[in-house]
Amino acid sequence: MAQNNNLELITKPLNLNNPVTAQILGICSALAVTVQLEPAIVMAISVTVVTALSNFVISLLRNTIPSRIRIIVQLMIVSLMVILVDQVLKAYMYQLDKQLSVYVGLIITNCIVMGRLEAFALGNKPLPALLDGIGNGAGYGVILVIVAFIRELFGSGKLFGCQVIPDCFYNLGYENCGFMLNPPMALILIGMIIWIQRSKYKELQEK
Amino acid sequence: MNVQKNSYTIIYASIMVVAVAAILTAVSFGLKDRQQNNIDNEKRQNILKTVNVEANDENAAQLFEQTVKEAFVVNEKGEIIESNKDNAFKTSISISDENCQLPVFKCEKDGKAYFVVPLKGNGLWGDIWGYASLESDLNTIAGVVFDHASETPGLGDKITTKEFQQLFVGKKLYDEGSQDLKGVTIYKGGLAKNDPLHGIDALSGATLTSNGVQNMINDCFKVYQAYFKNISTSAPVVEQPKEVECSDSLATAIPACDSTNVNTINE
Repeated sequence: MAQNNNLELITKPLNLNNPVTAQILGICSALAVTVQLEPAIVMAISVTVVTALSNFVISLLRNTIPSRIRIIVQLMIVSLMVILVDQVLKAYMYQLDKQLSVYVGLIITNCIVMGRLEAFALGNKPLPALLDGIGNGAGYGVILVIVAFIRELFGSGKLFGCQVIPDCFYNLGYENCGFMLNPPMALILIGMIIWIQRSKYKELQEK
Repeated sequence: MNVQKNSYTIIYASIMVVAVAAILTAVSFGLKDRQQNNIDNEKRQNILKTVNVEANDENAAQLFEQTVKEAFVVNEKGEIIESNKDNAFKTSISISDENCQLPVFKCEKDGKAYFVVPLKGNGLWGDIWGYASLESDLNTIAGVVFDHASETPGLGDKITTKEFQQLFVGKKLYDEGSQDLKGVTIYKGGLAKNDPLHGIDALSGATLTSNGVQNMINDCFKVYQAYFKNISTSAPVVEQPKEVECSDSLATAIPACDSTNVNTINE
């Protein structure tokens, strides 16, 4: 039973309890980093690492944190993790870090991280908290990758920076959709994903 | 223990702050050398790229030693104020009304001399910077690299692409026989072909970033003008820049002359 529960902690955020489409968290960064697939994937991994580690640490400390300053403590742990990720990227994956530039720092402001700390890590043991962090980070990552795939493919005709739409299409009059590159399109795409998901799973629909 | 007491809260917060600060300091110190090394290597690679030498993390330092013969820092009057190569490498360009610090990297590749200078300017959202190399006529751009802090992904950040940087190769800073710095000009809508000496096609969707690149190049070469004038009048290699331009390197150096020649032959 316990094993089942633990597994659910990872699988549920991928679909029914997805942080982006069901909990509607972390939308802002989903708009910013999804123009291309590669940064979206690195961002997804970074967010997963940060969510998992801070969930874990906060859960370890959960009985010692005074409730009046708990948000500040959480924020501090999250910033600590983000800076550590950034420093390690700078030292060992310099090119990648340059590509992500400001977005790594902006993980601090990602509502998913704080949301999971408040909603889960403060009331659960370290292991489930770690799994919950991984699950939610991955759930966020899935949406990011789907949106980035569509935007890069139709917006610039490329995937991972390589052209995939053949030249003959362009010769026939096909054109890249420039609107795909603008943030509003990311919002529309996320809206469409939510629409599809909710029409498939009736229990997600609000009465 | 009562974790809600005021004294506990204060002590808890203090310990927390000190612990986090200690961890961050330790990590920062521990990784500092590696990070600085990455930054230096990137700088070396960028300088080498402007003279068409591709280097990776491993061989950047070695190729840099081979290619860059001299490095020094000049001021806005064109006087050399620092001639140590390592110190010049560490100096970043600073442009102001007085006390400019302007590094110059003198490179040699396949027997040809190049002058590489750093560039610094503003894009749409933040800083942009890069390097540009001049051929020994001190007029023709031999190569450029650009980088940016926060230009729009997919639009303005294309200034880092090879396709865009390639547009600058062969462009002239001066009109023939003229002493006025014209630099490069950004054109929208593919009109750059009407200005083969200075014209660059803007990146579509990133006009402001493209303009930033134009201003960066023109502003930076302006402060280097004094130095380049000094050496073009004193150094024997570049004694007669104008003659060299029109006789020696006609085909590669002046696209306009080149295309007229081809046309006449065809006709």
